[in-house]
Amino acid sequence: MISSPSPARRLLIVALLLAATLVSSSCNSSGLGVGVNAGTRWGGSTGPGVYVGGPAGY
Amino acid sequence: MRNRLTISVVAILAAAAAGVVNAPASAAVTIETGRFVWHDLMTRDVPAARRFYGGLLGWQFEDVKRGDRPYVLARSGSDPVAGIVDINHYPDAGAQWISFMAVDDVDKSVGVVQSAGGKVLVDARDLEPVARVAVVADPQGAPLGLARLRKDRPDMVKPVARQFFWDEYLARDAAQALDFYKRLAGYQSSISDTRLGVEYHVLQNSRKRAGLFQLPATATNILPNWLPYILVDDPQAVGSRVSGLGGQVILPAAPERRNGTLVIIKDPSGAPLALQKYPY
Repeated sequence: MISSPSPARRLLIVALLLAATLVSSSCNSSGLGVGVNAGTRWGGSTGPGVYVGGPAGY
Repeated sequence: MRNRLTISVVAILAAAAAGVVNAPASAAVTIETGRFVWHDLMTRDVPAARRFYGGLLGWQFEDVKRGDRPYVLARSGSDPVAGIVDINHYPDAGAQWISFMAVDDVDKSVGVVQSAGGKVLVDARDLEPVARVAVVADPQGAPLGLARLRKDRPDMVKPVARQFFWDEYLARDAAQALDFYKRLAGYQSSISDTRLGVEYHVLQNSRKRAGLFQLPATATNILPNWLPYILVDDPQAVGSRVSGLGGQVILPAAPERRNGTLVIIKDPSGAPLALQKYPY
């Protein structure tokens, strides 16, 4: 037989769900999402040919 | 006793949640100017982009909203890594990754861009609760996002696989670009490589943040732009899956290019992107 949770426990569960929802929605605040017409900067199907240097500093 | 404990827990959770969600607009954190903090893909085919980046890099996607417009947030594992924006409402827009650079004051930075001959593509605006942003075209026409985030993002000490870790400026006039970005972002620069007659400039503030080099005169198909880099363990293997997912390899791995550790691709909508192993 399953006993129903006490009112205090129910309140705790609701609070946890509420907090999880709010925190989850705040995670969606990552990202910017500004649409822009930036044109086409790379035409054709080749790269610039010469490639030296590269990432640094890690 | 138990009731008191429960009420305390509820109060703490509610306060914590409220604090996260209702951060005031003025509470922007300080992020070093010149650090690249976000990347958004402008594309005409969002479903194809999801299939491509999901298949290639294992990203997962979440449909959210920015204002009244749909926005797709991409995650690598649990980390938010990028966004996808549908640009079909621009009749002639091209596909492009937009790199967002942190600045202290978006409006002042827009002024710097304009006074140097650049243009505003998207006016400065608040994206609550995320950031104040603008998108500009620099004096050589390269699009660039400017952002003052309300909340910091991790400044990776070590690059993480399948995430952005570098941005590189391909200039038509390297000297002009160096001067401009030093003024805009306070960078210092050093030359890390001069092979093949090409000077590779590293731009840095407290850390190395970006690269810059001059496009060869023969590269007439490429206009100045910021090219974002994603870290991959095996660029050749990842690159071999690109065409099957609807993209195109435009610069394959080759021994003379960083020991075969660089592949440049276009995604299905034509946005260029670099895949790089590091160190190389």
